[in-house]
Amino acid sequence: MALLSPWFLAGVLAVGIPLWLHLLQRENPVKLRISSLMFFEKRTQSTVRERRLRHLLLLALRLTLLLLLALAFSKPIWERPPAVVAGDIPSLHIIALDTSLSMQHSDRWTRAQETANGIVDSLDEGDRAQVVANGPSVSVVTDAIDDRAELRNAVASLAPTAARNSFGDVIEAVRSLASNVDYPVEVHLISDYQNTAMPGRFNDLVLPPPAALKVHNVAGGAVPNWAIESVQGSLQLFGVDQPKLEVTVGGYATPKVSKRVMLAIDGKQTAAATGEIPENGRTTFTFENFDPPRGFSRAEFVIEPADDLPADDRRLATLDNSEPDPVLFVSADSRKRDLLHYRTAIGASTRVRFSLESVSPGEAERLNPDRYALIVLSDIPQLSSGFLTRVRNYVESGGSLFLMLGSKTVNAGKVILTGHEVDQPLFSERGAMRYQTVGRSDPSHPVVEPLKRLSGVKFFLYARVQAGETDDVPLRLGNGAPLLIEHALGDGRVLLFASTIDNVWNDLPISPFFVPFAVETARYLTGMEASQGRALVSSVLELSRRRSSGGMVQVFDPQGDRALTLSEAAARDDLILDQVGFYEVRRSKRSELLAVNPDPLESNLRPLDKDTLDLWKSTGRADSTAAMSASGESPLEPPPLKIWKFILFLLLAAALVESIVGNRHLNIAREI
Amino acid sequence: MAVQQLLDPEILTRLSNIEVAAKTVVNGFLTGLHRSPFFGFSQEFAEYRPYTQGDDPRFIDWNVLARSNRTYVKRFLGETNTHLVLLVDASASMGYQSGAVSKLDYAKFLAASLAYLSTRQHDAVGLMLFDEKIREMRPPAFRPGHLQSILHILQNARPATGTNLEIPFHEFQQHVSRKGLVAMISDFFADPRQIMDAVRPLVFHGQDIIFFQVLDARELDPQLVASAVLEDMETGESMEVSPDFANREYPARIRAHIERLKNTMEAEGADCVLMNTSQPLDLALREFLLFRQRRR
Repeated sequence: MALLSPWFLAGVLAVGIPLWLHLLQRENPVKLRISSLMFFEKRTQSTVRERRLRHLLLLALRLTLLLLLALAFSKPIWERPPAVVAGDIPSLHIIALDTSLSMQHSDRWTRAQETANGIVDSLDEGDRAQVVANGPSVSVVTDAIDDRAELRNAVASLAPTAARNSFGDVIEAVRSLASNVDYPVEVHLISDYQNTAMPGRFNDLVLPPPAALKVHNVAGGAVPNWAIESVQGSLQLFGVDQPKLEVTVGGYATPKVSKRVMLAIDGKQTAAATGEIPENGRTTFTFENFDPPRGFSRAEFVIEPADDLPADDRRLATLDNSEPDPVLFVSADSRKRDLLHYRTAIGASTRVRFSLESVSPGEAERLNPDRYALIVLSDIPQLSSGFLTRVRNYVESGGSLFLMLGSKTVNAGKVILTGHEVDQPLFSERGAMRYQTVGRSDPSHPVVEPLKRLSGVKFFLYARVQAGETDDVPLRLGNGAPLLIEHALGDGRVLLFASTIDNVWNDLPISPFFVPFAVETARYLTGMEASQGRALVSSVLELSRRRSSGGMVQVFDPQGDRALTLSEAAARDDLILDQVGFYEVRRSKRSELLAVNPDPLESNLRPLDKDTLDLWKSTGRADSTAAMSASGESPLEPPPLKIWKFILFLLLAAALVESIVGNRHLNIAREI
Repeated sequence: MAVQQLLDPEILTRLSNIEVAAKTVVNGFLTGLHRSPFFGFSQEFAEYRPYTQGDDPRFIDWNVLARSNRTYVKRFLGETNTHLVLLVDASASMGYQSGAVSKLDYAKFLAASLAYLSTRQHDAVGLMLFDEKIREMRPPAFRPGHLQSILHILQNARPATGTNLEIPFHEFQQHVSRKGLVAMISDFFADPRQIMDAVRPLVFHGQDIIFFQVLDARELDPQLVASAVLEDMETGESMEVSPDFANREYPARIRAHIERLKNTMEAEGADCVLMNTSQPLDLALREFLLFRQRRR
């Protein structure tokens, strides 16, 4: 028998406590005052002896309890005698195949499959094996089985993906699989052992005690590889006179070489650039004077000639040459101060582009709201019934509305469309300062995060709006009054700003936060806040942000097939992008094209250094396989029997009896 | 309210005024007795006695004071039918109580009732409150306001220190020379022979003595369920006592003590009445009247 945590045996010293309580400390009898002790005598010895005998049972139980507790914490194990005949002890072999992008290099995958099949063939009688694939996430391909044909089929069914490898994820999965196994576990990690697959902390690589790592390196050593690392430049082309794209090509363990990069737009060869790539260095290739068609275009950059890992010689990008989303700004301000500020802010943004169309309430009657990505009503208390109905239908079918509340809305007493009650505006009071600032904010709201709580912005007046129960209030003033309210109307979103942007009720328009405020609210309402046009393989596409309330988001994979069923399209919050190519995301008012590329880290094929690998192998069960397999003996020892589990049951039983016996003593005390 | 209830000591403790309590007891008792005793009195000079606190200043002989510069009071024969002196033990042990009434409360009720009853019978009543020493003393007298003075002392009596039974009897001899009745109320936790050594001179002097031994029910039968540390209320001494002893041997011992006390008293011609604090007071009054009748 051995102890895994022998220091906990020091807890045995705690038995001194009940010993002291029971033997050294005398019982404290009840104290009574009496007229005279004239006729009393000290108690007789027999009574004392009787009580001590009774207490000794309780003492013994308590001592047992403490001893068992200390023993359980010291984790005793029973080391069973080792089996010396090969095959006596069955093992579990976890065959973890690296299916990351780098495994597409030359014949690495073929060798990996051969190695896996070799492991399956070498299984001893009684051994079981389990196939695990690592990429894009760790997936268990088979259960722990001994059917060799099924295991081979499982290996054959796998193929390298475009995902990134992560040893941390593999070991975490191994920990989970080995957690309930009482026999030895062999982890056969078949991989090219890229250095970039290492986790941030070495502790994430530590194997559980019953597992031993078997390294199967299918990489032949350091090999040269070139890859397109990034595409920068004019990806949003509308209105850009001279579009320019810069493509960075990097080399890993590479000599100086001349490479050519081809640009194809929508499958059509458009341009090419040639350049020298220095040894282990990078070169930027520039593409100019190309003219993509209107709308979204699929751009593909390819290195020629290709190397042994062609998957990273190709890079995709989405070129957005569509017209800016139109925004309708309705204002009744005769001096157009609100329009001036809003137009300036929207135009100042380089991240998003909107075309702003401003009208008065009377002019708006003839317009069709469905044309616009966003409608802004700046302190508009009422609209003509026809236009109001059209705007309501527009919002309820997934449109976006931004309402700013000023004196006209306050005088009307009610917010248009949403029906929120509005009280008279309140002149803010904050001690001697007659203004309010933002008090509470919800940092999880996409609009709020870039606004930094509108620090320093003074609100001299605000409309007192009561938020509904289902409303979200991302911003509140210091006195708790709602400043920004999100309201759901049908499938659409409505934001209510309880002040104006005319630089009268507040100084927001002249603060540094006004441009982010105007841009982020517009981006959020139009659903552009998540659209970057590009993503990496295995990244998560957030559907909830793209979906208007109750709306549906349809996603088409690079093959043009639906990535989500209809029910998933209405309910799922995210989707893992597991393929390289262009994903098309369609929703009620807007669509976007996502270019999904592999992680550039996969392009660096530099293997793990030997020291790190040796250190990794030393974790888990001690590996003496090589030494003993030569002599025909099994190096595997049966896992020790964990006695502490049984001790816990004994502990429970002792605690139960102690409670019963102790309760008897307590009953006596109560009678006194 | 039934008369018997009015005599219940637990009910009497709810009466804040001891005079009211005494009147309640005596009137209730006499209502049940159907007897109205009347005794005459006369005034005949008998002797001079040094003035003590509580003596009526009207009886100070101012002539003697003018001549000798000493304060004496004149005493008269036939002032009342007889004298009754109440000796009340107010030691710490009398503060014991297991129920609603302490032994001292019971003794106060009993003393007040006896005083009131005797006053109604035109007897002169005196009081001596003692523990280790004499705390209060009022010589026997029958005059307006004397009863209230005694009741006031009783009302304010609190259990104090230890007991010394010799002192009250010694003082008694100093201040009371006329034969009369002596009622001593105590728990008598002392050797009966020592008590009688102190009492014997009075008996020789012709005093008729009745002892009311007041004990609590728990003092007669402690009923301990577990070992307990008992602390003497007078000495502060502690002793750990087993329930076996307390429930078996102790009751026998206290009974033997009571019996021995009673025998010793009766051998000297004194009466001894055991009173349990849970008993009504009419029993004590009845014993007292019988005792008084016998000694007339």
